[in-house]
Amino acid sequence: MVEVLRGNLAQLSLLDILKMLSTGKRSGRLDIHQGVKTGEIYLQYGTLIHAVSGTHLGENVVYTLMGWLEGDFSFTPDIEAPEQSIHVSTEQILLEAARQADQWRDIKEVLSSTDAVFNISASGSTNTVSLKPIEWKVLAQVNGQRSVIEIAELLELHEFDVAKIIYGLTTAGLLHEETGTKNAFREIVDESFFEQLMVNFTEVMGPIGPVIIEEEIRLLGEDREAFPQNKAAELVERISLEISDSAKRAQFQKQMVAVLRG
Amino acid sequence: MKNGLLEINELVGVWGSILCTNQGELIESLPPTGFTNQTLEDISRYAIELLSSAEKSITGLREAVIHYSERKVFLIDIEQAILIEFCTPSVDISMLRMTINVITTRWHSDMKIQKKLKAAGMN
Repeated sequence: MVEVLRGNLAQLSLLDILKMLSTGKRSGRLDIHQGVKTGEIYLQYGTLIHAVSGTHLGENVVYTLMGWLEGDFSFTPDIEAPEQSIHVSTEQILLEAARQADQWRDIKEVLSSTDAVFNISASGSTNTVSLKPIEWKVLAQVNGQRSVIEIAELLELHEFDVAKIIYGLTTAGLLHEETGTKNAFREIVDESFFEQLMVNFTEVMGPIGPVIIEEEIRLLGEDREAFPQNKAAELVERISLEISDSAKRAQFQKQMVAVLRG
Repeated sequence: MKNGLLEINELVGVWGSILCTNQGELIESLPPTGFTNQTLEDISRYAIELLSSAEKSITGLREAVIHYSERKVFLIDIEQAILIEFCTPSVDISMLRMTINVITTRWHSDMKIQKKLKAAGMN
């Protein structure tokens, strides 16, 4: 049950992780966390046999998890799946996942995250628009308050399908993303945290300190202006590893742990 | 030493801490309620067995996280001893690891604690 592989999805995509575990014929459980959301994928000798997230099971969960471009993952070897919910070949899933990953990249140009909230555009489309029944169902739930993921849950559809429809409706000019709403779903660190981080880290590292901090923020897939509270300790820990002197590192961590604990 | 464990236990998501020798004997503990000494020693030995067997295949392994459905157990080798943290699944591991590092660095320069750790290790 020892965790041997873990990291951040901003650095290594879920598709790459699954390819690696599948090629290596690994058995165990891959846990994925994005805020309060979690997902589990089980492999047996490199074959995907079970995936679960909330009340959803099966290969569609794998595709949904592909849409989590940020979050943490950990792989625990030798954990057996409690059941088998995936009945298609791993090659087929990875192929479909790769296709969807390409589409996710396009979708993400419009959707900053599946926590994003959309509203009906006042200007509308300049062309005649025809909607499929499923697109109408999604459009009818867009109210400037519900996030993409909430709409998916309400309609019992997959995040990917809803995100794709919203992407289409937005590019057609029917919807627009409500600015400032994305971050309403997660707690953001106070600017004073970064001020203290800069001061303390620069004191140890010199003028390169702020550059390292900005780089680590980027590697975590975040912006300084909207940095989530639940990643603050991880950021501090990551930058502290740049301090080679262990006593100075502990001193820096002590200062920052005090800041984080308020 | 107890104060250090108390400081760790104050972290959000930490349920209890035990410090044991590399042979699994208890040095200090502030465990979750309901744990007997026997249970704590059994856990310590299991943790050591786990860390040492994993270390055979992963060089330089100092820590491990055991995931249970409702709990997470964080094991860390602090050289003279093994620290075992009982946590909730939502515990911030980075915060926990940094707090442990701050406390163990403090222990390194505390002669009284060093003496205690050395004595415990020799038993």
